Parts: sequence; C-alpha cells; structure tokens
Amino acid sequence: MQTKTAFFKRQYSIKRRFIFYTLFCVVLIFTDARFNYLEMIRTGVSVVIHPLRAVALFPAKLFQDASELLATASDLKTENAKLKEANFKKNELLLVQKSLLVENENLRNLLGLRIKTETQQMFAEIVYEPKDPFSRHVVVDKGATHGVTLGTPAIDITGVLGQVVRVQPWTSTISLVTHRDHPVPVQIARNGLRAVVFGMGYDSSMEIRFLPLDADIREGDILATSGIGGVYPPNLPVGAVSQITRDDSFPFAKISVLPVSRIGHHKQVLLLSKVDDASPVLDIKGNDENTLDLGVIGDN
Amino acid sequence: MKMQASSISDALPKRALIAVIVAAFIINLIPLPLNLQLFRPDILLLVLIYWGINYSQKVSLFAVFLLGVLGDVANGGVLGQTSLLYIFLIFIAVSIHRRIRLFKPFMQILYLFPALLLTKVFLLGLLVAIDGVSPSLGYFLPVISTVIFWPFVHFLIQMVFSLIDPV
Repeated sequence: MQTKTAFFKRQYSIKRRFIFYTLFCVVLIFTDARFNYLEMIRTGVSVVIHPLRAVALFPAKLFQDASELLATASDLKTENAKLKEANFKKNELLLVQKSLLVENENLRNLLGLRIKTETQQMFAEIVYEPKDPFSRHVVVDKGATHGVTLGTPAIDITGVLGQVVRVQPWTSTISLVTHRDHPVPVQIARNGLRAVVFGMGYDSSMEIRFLPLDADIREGDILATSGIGGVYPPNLPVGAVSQITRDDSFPFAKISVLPVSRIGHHKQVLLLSKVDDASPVLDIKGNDENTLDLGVIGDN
Repeated sequence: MKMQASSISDALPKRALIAVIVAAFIINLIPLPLNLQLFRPDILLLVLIYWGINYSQKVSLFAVFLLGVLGDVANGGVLGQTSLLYIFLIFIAVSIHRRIRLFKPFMQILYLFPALLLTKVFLLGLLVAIDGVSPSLGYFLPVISTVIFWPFVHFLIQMVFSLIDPV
C-alpha cells in the first residue's frame, strides 16, 4: 500500500498538483486554439474513443432499425409514390442538363478553354454532432480508409454543407459553413458579383464581410459557390441574402445570409472530390494564353 | 443513506470506480436530438465529483486530466477545456468534502451549482480571451441539467459500488 501510493501523490499536496494541472490545461487550450500541433493527438485519441462511441450509438441505431421495421406498408407506398414523382421530375432536368453539358463542352472546345473535370462523389451519413457549443461540426461515417482527405467539400440535398477539417480512420469531421469564421467564396447568382461568406457560429445566420456600401446586392439574392479558392466546386447553392444594413459610419455593408442547408433535417451527405485545380472556373491559365496570343497579334 | 458515506481511511474500490467512469463516459457519448443537445448533462463530471467528495485522499488528478482530454476529443472542442473544468471541480470537491458530506445529496446541489457555474464563467472567459469565441447563454444550460442529476447519480454510484466491491 505504502509503496504503491508513494509515486506522485505523497510528494505534492493536492493544491500544488491542482495548480500544476491548471497551468498545463491553460497551455493546452492556448496551443490547441492557436496552433495545429495537437491534431495528431486528437486523431490518436479519437481511435481510442471509437469503440466507446460505437457502444453509445448502439441504442439509437437499434431504435432507428426498429422504427424502420415498424413502418407501415401504406406509409411506404405513399413515400414510394412521392419519390417516384420526384425522380421523374429530376430525370427531365437531368436530360436537359446532359445536353447542356455537351453543349458547354463543345463551346469550351471552341474557345480553347480547358474542359472542367467531373467531380467524384462519395455517399456518407451523419453519425453524430459533437456537443461543443462553440463549433458547428458534424461527424460522418466515412474516413481515411474510405479515401476522404482534408478539405473535401460536402453537400446535402439543399446545398453546400461544409468541408472536411479532420480525418480519422473511420470517420471524418465536417466543419459546417455556419462554423465560426468558416469562409466560402461565393458569387451572386443574379449579377456574378463575387464575395466571401463567413460563418458566425450560429445555425441560422452567416455574413458577407468586406463588401462596400454601394455593392450591387439586394435582399433575397441567391448565393452560389464561385469555385475560387479550389475547395468548393462552382455553382452550388450556399444561401440567400436575408438582411442588408448600409450604415455610413462603417466602411462595409453589414449583410446577413440565411444558409440553405439545414442541419438536423438530413442525415445524408455527399462528399465531393476536392477541386485540385486552384482556378476551376476562371481558367486563368487558358485565358492568359489567349490574351497573350491576342496581344502578340495586336502588336504585329 | 449517510451510513454509506465512507471515511477517509476507506480503500478506493478501483474496479467499481473504473466501471462507473467508463459507463459515464459512454452515457456522455449517447446521441441526443438537436434541441436536447444543449441541455446535455455531464454525467462523467458527477462521477468525478463523487470520487472527490468520498475518496478525497485517493484522487488522481492525472486520471481526471486524461478523462478531460478524452472528453474534449469526443466533443470536438478545444483540447484542455474539459480537463480544466474537471480539475477545477474535483479540486473544489476535495476542498469541501468534509463540509459537503454532512448534507443529503439533494442539499449538496446547493454547493455544486455555484461551484460549476463559477468554474464555467471562468472557463468561458478564458476561451473568449484565447480562442475568441462569442459567448452565449447556451454555454451555461448544462450547468442546471448536470446538477439536477446529482442525487440520481450519487444513488446509482453507491449502488454499483456496493454491488461490485462490497465492503
């Protein structure tokens, strides 16, 4: 007994140990909040937690399976009919889109622009939402072993959800677009004005920063990703402008945005392959070559 | 019920404590609906407080610290914040264990509530200063739900302890 407990406890009083651990925790908080050094520890520990998490998720899964089993035939029939109808309508859109894609490809060929590569998709399901009140994250059931990489953009049925910020072996963490200071480069669908939407840490609101007071933006404008920045593919809906305050005493307009994707309403997520090209939309390279050619012709 | 409250010289029922801690950790991980998520009580914290109050000489701050780190990774928050919360509360529990053991669990809530609230205020201040989070009232909601569970958790732990490691 004596030899067993003599290790660390007997030497220092609880007060000293308390002060030591408090200081250590503060250093830890500082390091983790400001730097990226501790991500390795986080990944390692998350592997340890994984089996415990599986145990914790088991009752919910059981409940879900049971309720799926108990779904009545009439419910399923009506749902099936609805899905068929929706599918039919989407098929029509898809046909139009296919012809547009071919047309777009031909036009790009004509103009000498690079053809946009198609993105690959991976289906994932939201497993849980971490409870930290200061972050807007969700964890999905696909991880490094499934080929998920850092920065992978995620969408749901309504629009952009966010991007992968942490990859664990079997799961990955998606930072939602509403996460504090999460930037998404967007374009106003109406006039093509580019801006960056930032999350604020609230579920129902985002903001556009650094747009001048006289920027051509109205309430109700639809914002879609611009594709600049190389993370999100272009033309995915992000949100709609909900409120604009133009106050002369500030250099920029205060613009609130309502995000389209509703967390908690959908379980399914699509992980898109990362847009590797830094400039998927603008084709700066191609444009540069063109302008250079034109310039040479003009000089001659 | 007060008969059970052990004196300082009592040996720590290690197996039972580990079992209860693992169970509490798993309970903390159980997914809740989104609107209940805000009120989620921290059962593990209550277990640690029990440890601090009833076995104050046998408290391992290192174990408490590690459990906090595990909790932070599970919650997806900044590493160290849950550790700090646990360390603070177990220190408070150890400091006041003589006084608080005189009361019934229901009355002990009156001690735990301000202790937890003040610690969380301090922690929030620290997070605002270091991480720049925007403070919200929602951060304090778990305080109420957690201390409400104290009498039940207290009772359950006593039951488990007497089952696994009968004295």
